[in-house]
Amino acid sequence: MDMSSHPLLAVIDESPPFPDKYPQLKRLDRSVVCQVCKEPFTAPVSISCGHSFCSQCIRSSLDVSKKCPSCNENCSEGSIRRNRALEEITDAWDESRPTLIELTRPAPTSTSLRKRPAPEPNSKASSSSGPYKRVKTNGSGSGSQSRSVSPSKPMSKDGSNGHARDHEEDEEEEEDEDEIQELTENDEAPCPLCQATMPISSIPLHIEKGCPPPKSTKKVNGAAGKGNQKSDWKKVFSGQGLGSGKGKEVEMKRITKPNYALATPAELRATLADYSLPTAGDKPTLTSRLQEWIILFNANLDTSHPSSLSALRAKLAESESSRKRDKEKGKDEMINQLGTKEGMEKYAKEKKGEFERLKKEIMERDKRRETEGSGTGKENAIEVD
Amino acid sequence: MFGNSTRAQTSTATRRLMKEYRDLTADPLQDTITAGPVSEDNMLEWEALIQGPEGTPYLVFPSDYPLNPFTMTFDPPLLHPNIYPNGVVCISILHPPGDDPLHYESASERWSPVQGVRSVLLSVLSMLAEPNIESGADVECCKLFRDNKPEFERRVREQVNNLLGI
Repeated sequence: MDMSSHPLLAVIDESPPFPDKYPQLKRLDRSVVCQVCKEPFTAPVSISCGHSFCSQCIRSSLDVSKKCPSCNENCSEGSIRRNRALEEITDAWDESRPTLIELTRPAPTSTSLRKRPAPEPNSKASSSSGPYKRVKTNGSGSGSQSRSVSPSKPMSKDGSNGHARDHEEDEEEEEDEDEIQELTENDEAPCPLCQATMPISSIPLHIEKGCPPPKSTKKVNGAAGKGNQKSDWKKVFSGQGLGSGKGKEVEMKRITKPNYALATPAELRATLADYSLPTAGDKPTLTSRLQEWIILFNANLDTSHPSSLSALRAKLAESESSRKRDKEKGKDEMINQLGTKEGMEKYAKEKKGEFERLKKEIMERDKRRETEGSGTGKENAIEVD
Repeated sequence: MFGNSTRAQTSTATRRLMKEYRDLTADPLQDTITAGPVSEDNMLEWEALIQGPEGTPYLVFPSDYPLNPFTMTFDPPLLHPNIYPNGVVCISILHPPGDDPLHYESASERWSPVQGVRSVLLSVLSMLAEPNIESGADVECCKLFRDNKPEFERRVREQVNNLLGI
């Protein structure tokens, strides 16, 4: 199998890694990753031993084993504390990452981007300057959309603003004749390659991905997502989010776990109904649904960007159905099956073809190495008496 | 955060495995070992290729991975003190989390969600090089390894040669 072009990998929508020559950035990049899900922290929390994980990850893990996944120290759910500093760091890093990726790219690419001529001369009118972060654009189509947070002043009045301003202007002149606009990362600008308009912060990633249509890029953009979440959240607080019309507000308070062993299916259904969740299924289904809901719900209280209850419900439904799909692939059964001799034999029989193929591949590879004469004994791992 | 849109469409287990697969692809473990999904539509079943006479291990993942460990099976079964006669690998890092009732191995050696394919394959490599006969899976094989190592080695060679049809 070709390791680099697996179709399942195409599903991962990922930002590019830092080049190898920046080990310190790679380390920083790794340090905001949860060791359970291997993704940047979402709603990070700390536990008694000092290790931090996504709230959802550690809550799920503690349901299985009451130990820290990293150091195996005993740990209970009661010791989970929100880690606001880590959340801020993760958010800030997420925001700066595209910029840093851009800065670490090899020089030739950035110059070629810079040298693009500005197609619209009138965009100069909207340009302003100030002691804010500079983002270069070539101005096309962005004039009306760009919003400047700086107290924008016409260029002509700049003279009165002192030396600092003069110095900056000099710098500008040393560079090419581009338009320079004061923009924040959330402002929109056209991609220098395909001219599609999108938030500036997502342009480097967009280029890195080979300029896909901007719609998907927008979806990925964190800022846009947060905006929606905020309005969704407002809806929840004003009661609109609770679609069932029961007139019963869901309290935004941590849910205490019921005793699943003692709870009757009717009780589980009643609790699920309180949160407008589906009540179909037998006891194990109800239990795992409620368990997962409590994890999602409680984890949602550990973040400054909480999801709406309806989004949480959708997440629960999706997770339940994807887990069902996984189960249908028969793997859980297979694991049990592998424990028995007959099951193992059946499995071995089914996989015989693949084994033969791999065997052939490895033998060919070894033969190739031998003929190349570069084989260093160690590589020639197959010993023949 | 990147990829929230796709996160919703794949299960936690699949997503985490995609991550691991991508990382293994980007940064291969060693020259001697590779691993990846068997088929294109299922992340929950992998095959690994360990260069040398060890056959092909298959990795089968539970749907609640990484909360619970995967199973690793050598096909065909390999003669080794820590591999059951049916090919299933017995290694502490692949045992479910929590203490075992016999206190045979400490919890620190067992599976936890921070482990992954990479760390397990590394452990298996060292297990292959140095069998642990104190917690053997194949008792007969353990005895043989302890009491008559030359005979053990001869039988392994014989098995491997048969396997490869040499």
